[in-house]
Amino acid sequence: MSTSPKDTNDVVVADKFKISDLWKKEDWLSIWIAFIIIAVAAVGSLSGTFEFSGAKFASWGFTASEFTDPAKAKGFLGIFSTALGIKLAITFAAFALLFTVGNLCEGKKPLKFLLAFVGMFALVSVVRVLSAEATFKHYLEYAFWALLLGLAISNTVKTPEWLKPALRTEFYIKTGLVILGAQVLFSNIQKFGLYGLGIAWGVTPIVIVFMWWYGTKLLKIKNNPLVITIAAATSVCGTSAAIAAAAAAKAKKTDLAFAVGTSLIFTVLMMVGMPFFIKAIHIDPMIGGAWIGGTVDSTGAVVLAGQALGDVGGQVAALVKMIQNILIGFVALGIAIFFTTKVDRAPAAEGQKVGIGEIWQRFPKFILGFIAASMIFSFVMQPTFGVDATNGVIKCLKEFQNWAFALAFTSIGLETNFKELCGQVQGGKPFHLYIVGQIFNLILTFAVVWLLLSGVIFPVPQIAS
Amino acid sequence: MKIAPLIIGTIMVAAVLAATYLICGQYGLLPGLDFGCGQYYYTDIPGWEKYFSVKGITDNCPRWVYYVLFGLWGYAMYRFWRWIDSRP
Repeated sequence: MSTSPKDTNDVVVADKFKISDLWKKEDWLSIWIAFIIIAVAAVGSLSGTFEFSGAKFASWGFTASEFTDPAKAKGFLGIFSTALGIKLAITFAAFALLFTVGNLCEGKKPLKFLLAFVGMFALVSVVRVLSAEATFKHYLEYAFWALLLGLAISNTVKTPEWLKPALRTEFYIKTGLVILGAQVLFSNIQKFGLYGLGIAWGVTPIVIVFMWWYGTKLLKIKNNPLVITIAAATSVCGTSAAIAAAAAAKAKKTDLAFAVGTSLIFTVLMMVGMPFFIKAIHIDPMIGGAWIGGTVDSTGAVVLAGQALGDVGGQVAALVKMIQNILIGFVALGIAIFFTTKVDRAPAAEGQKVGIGEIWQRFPKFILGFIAASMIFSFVMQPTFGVDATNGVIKCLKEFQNWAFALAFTSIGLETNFKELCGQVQGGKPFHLYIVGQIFNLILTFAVVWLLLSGVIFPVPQIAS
Repeated sequence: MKIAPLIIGTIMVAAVLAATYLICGQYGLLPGLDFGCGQYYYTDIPGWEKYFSVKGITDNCPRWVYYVLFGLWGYAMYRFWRWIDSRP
């Protein structure tokens, strides 16, 4: 994330838009880079002539056999293969080329970036290998390891100077988010009917507004981007939503690290605790699944916890969460407009009407790329090429997005010192906000789920697989 | 000494310890399902089509009704957010 505008005194005056911004500014460049990756992956996948997909390390570690096919459980060395090497080379080449050109367009020194990027990519490869260990993969994945490894380096041996040109957190995040936009299929909104819309979209904005009010008015947290990042992580879908909200609100890097860390801790607790509680008090699996889908942060944890209730619980949990996954782009858009028109304005400008021109100048443009990718995949790709072909393209894109986010989180770790991170604690207020917000989310979601799915007011829906 | 930070601090330490215990014991995972909290977005889940590319429920409500409801509720809540923020 960029430094908060308040920190840079960039509160009222924003640069006027110039046509050259399209090839010189990070927001626009991230859109073009992401769209090049999307286009190449789509052409390759739809034509069937080549595969352009990012590298993914297979799960390793001996405990994996308990949860996967024992024949597939691998030791550490078993995950390396020629195929993986080729995909790693493709991932590196694509990112190195595109981001180096991006740096060149921005007027930065491309060779220094390229040299640094080689080091960054090697470091992120280590992160992704570590996070592929069976237990870590199931519970934490790359965000945790990227932050930890980056923090370990920056707070012990210090981040080397030659690596710093590749610490482009915002650039990686914006690019990753535009690629993520292709996976946000708005056409899925109908899959759980009006029940799903009521549970996912009815509750989510209320929780966001409640947490904003609680954080800014009651707890008086001054760091507004931190409040909205925690609110989005709690009410939408954890890490992915936190990344989008933080970028839209121009939060500080430590805000994102804090929100993601808190969300991961509580997701583990809720993934284990909620199915146990639901079964203990004999809640109907459909109601329990919808409750889990609407409240547990990470999507993987939702499906797993839902499956613990049985097939119906698992399916309903997945359907509700799928709708929340769609919300990311629109929530990010709302946050960007709100911060542009209200939060980031100088106190002297309060009460004055904000012109379209000023909104446009301040608006984080990469959000447009995010929404455009979602719209293209939802309303052009899927109707034209079909669900299976669209899913095939999405599978190719997935790992590019994960690499971009892993690069971003590693950059955050490498740029952060523990003192700065501890400063986020603010007497426990952000934790307080998360806990109260999550409790409110649990109560409100349960009430809405019960109203819609108990059969008392509306007929109980029939799920088809 | 304020009591709220003490309570919040205690809850956080307990949450971290509990989460660490659950991770170490690999609680909550199900045999045959190769994912968990670490799969942040739906496409992170191995074989995600199995869970998400399903028919769901069939209803007679046209899709545009969903889009209109989505837009109206989103706009209403956005105005509500601005109103809440403008209160002292």
